Amino acid sequence: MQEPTNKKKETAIKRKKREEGLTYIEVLVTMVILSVVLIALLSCFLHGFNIISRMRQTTIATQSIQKELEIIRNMSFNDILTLDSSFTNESLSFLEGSSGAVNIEDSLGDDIKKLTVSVFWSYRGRQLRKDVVTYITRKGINRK
Amino acid sequence: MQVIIKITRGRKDGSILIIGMTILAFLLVFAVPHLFQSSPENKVTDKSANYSAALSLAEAGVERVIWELNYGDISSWKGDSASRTLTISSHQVPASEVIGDIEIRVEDPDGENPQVKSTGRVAYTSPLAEGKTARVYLERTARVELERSGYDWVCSFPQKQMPASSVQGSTI
Repeated sequence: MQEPTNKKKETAIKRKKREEGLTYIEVLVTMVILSVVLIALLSCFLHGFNIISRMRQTTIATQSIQKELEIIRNMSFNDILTLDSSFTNESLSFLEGSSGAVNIEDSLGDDIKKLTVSVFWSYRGRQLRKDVVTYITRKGINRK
Repeated sequence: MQVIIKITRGRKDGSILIIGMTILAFLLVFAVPHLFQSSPENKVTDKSANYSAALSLAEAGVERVIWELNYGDISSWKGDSASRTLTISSHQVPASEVIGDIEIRVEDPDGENPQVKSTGRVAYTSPLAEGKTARVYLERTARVELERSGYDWVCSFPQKQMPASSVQGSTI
């Protein structure tokens, strides 16, 4: 009657030893899994923040161009011809290394010009730009 | 007593894994929507910028018509006295990604109030997947009516504008 009891005790001790060792393996496995997944998650977050930053910059650049274009459209044709080739506004200060450019090219005649408004900026060492091109004429839109 | 100890040990054994998985699940809840939201929003921002460029092209078409009526010769355009059309291709900025076309249609060019419909179209290439791109066309239309001011043709005020936009896509 005592033998089975002893066997049971031995088995219980063995199981207990196995259970005690399992914790360390679990810790290691969990740490590896956590590291791998956390690195993946971190890259996801970085990618997302990068996209948000680019979106913000594109929006600022587009708004700056639109603002400058509206100012130009409300000027007289002669004033437009004497415009400075660069422009700046408060929005551009939010872009790193930014500058605004206005380019007026000759087109079909003296009373029509091709107007290009551009914004240049840098982001992580890359040079980025946005352009909008249109025509302006002496008796055109907003020049009644 | 032995049973109680065993149960306690068993809980301790699994707790790290459970806590780890809970933290991961918690982070995933934030990370996955963040990733899936930011990418389409970037496309929307790009499209918004290109819509602005398309509207400027449409306005350029209106300016072109006013110039033709005041200083040029609109009779050289395609069409007849009922309507005339002109397409300006590759109205583009050198070294820029913006490539635009303008389609201009003037109804009743010899009448008292010529009606101008000008559509600016901007094409940009957006990556779909590795090795695959889609050329998307974004359109904005400006519709205005012109009137005489002395000897000159000008936009009637308030401007009768009808912004309209459409998106066409084709895989290249």
